[in-house]
Amino acid sequence: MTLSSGDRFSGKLSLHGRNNNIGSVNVDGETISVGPVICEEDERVQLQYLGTRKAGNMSSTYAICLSNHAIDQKEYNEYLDRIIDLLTPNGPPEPGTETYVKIVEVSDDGIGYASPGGQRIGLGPVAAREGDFVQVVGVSPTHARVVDEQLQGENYNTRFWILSEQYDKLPIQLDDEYTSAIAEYDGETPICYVKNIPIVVPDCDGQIGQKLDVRVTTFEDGQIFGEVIELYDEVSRIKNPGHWARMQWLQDAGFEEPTFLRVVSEYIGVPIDQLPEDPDQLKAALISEAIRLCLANKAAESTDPYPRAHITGIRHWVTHKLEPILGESDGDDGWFRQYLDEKNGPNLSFLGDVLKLSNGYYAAGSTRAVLIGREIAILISGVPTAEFLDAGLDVKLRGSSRIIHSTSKSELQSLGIAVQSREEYTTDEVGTYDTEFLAEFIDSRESTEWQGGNDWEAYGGESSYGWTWRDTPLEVEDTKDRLVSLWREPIKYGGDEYYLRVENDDTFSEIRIPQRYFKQLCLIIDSLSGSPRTVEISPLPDTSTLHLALSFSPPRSQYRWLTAVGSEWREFANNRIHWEIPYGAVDSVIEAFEQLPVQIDDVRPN
Amino acid sequence: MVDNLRTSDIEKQESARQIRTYIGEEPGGRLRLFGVIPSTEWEQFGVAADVDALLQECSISTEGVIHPPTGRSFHPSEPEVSFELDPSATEFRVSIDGSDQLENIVGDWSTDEVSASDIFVGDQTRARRSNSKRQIKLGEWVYAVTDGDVDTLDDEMSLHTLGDWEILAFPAREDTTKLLEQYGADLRTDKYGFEADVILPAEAHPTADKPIESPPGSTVLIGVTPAEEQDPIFEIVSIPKRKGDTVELDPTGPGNTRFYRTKVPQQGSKRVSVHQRNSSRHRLIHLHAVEAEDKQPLAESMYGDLGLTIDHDDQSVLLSPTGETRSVTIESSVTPATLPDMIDYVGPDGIDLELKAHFPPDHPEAPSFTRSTTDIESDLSNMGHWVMQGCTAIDVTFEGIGSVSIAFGEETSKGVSP
Repeated sequence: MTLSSGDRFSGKLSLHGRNNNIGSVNVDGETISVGPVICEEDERVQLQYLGTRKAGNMSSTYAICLSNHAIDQKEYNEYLDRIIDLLTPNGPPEPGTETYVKIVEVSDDGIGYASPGGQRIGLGPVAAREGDFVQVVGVSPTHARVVDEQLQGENYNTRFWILSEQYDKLPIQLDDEYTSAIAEYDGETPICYVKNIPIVVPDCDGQIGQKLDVRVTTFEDGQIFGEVIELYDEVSRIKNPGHWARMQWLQDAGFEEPTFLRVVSEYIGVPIDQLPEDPDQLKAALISEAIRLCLANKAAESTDPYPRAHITGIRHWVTHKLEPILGESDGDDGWFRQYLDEKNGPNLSFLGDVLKLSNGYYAAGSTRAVLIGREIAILISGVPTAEFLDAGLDVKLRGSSRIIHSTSKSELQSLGIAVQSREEYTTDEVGTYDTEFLAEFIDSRESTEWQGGNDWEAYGGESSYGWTWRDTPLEVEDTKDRLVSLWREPIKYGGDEYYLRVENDDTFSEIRIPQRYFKQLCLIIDSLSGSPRTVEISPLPDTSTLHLALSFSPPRSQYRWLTAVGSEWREFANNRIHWEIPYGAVDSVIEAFEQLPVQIDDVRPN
Repeated sequence: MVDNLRTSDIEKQESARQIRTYIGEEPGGRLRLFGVIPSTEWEQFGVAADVDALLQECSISTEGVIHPPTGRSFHPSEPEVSFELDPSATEFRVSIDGSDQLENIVGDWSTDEVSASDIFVGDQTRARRSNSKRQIKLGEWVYAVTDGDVDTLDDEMSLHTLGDWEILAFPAREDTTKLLEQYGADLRTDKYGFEADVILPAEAHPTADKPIESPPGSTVLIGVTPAEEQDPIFEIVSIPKRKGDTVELDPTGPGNTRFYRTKVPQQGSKRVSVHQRNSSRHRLIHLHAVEAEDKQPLAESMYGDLGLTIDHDDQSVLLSPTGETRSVTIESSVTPATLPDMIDYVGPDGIDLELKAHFPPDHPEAPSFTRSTTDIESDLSNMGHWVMQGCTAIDVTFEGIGSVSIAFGEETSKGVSP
């Protein structure tokens, strides 16, 4: 036979086997087994010759079917697995030897690995998946090169040479100097590219797109390192620029520094001192305003009594407006959804500026204001900011939130802006969550005999800022001497369900807890057990904000209030959740938390 | 050759006296066919010219035009001249005769009659008749003129009439590519040349080709973004093209945005075309000065009512979760069966609502039951039944906004008493 291992050829299939689904082809009078197929007899398919396997006096000759339409991929891979010992060597292939290996892992950055004879070898970047068989040629005991160019990943040669430490094959050498630009980061370390080769430049504080001169210093562990000779204050023509590069281009177009602030100021129509300085807050203000302007634009074209807009149209409008400035908003994880309605975030739907309707529609939220001090109010509205500025209001932006200064209830009402109380805005029907609330909750709710399942877990009291579940419940006594504990029933394909277990005169009953009360009841149990959760307010030097540290994840009402007043989440640290809250909003924030059975430590100096 | 490519398709059409033809959806969903030709520019008149008189004196005759323009329509304070066309007409023509100073508008303007397989592309207020082979951006709205032979309607498609024509409307999305292939002639969604997005003025539609109306001197910022792997040179060409008016935008790298900043003229219009050099790709940007006080006000409907209206004895009360009146008592003399006719929801369709019906302590449903809905109309129709079953009050919570309540009173004294 004229075929050698790895040769590609085509042939007409014959079918046999019990289910008439095992294919073979005839070459030079020899039958070559192809394995299970799903096509008709006599169909011509593309094949790759493997070789012959001998077992005792018997020998069989094999080829892989390369025509995807002729095979069921899952079934075919199972077949290949069965003849794997024919396909794969017992160890890394010798340098220059061609063979097949099965990919056992593809790393996050697309590097494929095989494990012939239990010894791991790197294949370089692959355009294949785990479980696929690929033809390789041995290079070293630790690396083999993928032969089929279609299965090689992007920029294969360079990446393979670097990974297999064949640095002499690269078109750059030690001490070479190049002009390039920061193209990406690996963690916090910038990377620039020279001749399509990534050069890591540690100790460089350049921004994406920033031009630099770099000297190649080290080849080490499959990476190339360089040092910065000069970092220029100009943008290079690179792919995928970052914020810094876009700001440079806007400067070139005539926006002076601080560029982003000036662009946002022009966009929203407020002076720059009415805008937040923090870039993330500024970005939030810009995106939120674009969404409001879009809804206004769509409303102007509608005759519906309460106009709606579909998410497709809103996304088109907002991303075309802002992607040139902010970069792409990728899918449902991008900045567009983040500020429109991403779950549990400080977004416009959560604030109430936008109404999320069914079937992908949205509408502008009703206009109202909530007073948070004598002369300060939060503005909740889907109407663009310019309308309120034109009405003479002093509006400042804090991220997605808008705050009206130097105003009064009468002024707001005279402008047709409804005024809500904080309680009405946060839609919390309960005055204070305390022991009386717990007793009333138990008395007013339907209770049934305790059914708690084996997989139920009990609330175990304070631990970090979360809610800890244990086998043994933290039990507390309510005002009517009943023993109360809180339980969680895991639901396989849905949100967990919560229950109170109440022991009264040796009888046990359960009461279902609506999701909206679960955190408050945990806080009551913590408080009754003598370990109330804490809220600490302290000054932040050199800022107009205060530091808020919570030892618990706030219930929805308090979270909504924190967001509405323009607070900014900072970090989880030291078993606390840390926020910055605007100075003028602190009293209202304290009031919001006084609704909860928590210990409030106000350590501001008098 | 370069100069020819640099001349925008708009300018070429205007030189050839072609009427640009559009479909727009009117309030209520009716489609309208309309034509657009340019108005005059202040620059074409001498300082001493009596513009009003010159326009008054010109004569205009039309064919296929429902509401013909007058000379006044061409005043330079107007961004453009649009007029409704009769979709059934076999000829569209606007003939303008007048002074030499009106050179950019005089002549016989015309365009082809509407025919099956015509395609209009843009947004729902303004979609322009496009030639085949035009590249289309995802997110644009497509109107395909058909002879009525439309087999099936997918969810995203809608069928309208325009005169005797059936118009199929659908958005250009990845999942409607097959519709484009079927009805969109040679329109292609791949390889769109470049985006020219209007970033400022903030309220301007970013991609629509209608005039951008903004106060004189206000900042205009355009983001010009080529296709992902391309780094071509773009230039801003005035319309009509004048020597020395072309501005080149520096390349910034493949797929990266270049910014063009300019200002709205002090009066009248300024039209420019964003042009990808050495190609026939153009995008019209039409800026028109409008004094701030003449700007279109925001739709009042953005402040639309939200809540429940209670109509009884010629009184109407709006219960609004943000308004002054948030609760009402309906006296027991009101027949429960009439409640569905008395109570109406006002607000956008599909809002998340929670209804909580309260019952007396001895009632099997006591103290209350709660249900969530996005279709309150059907729940309101059950309200009479609940009251007959003993319901004493209903709270309606509007997700994230607030709540209103209706109590059903015992006494038979007054009618609706907020």
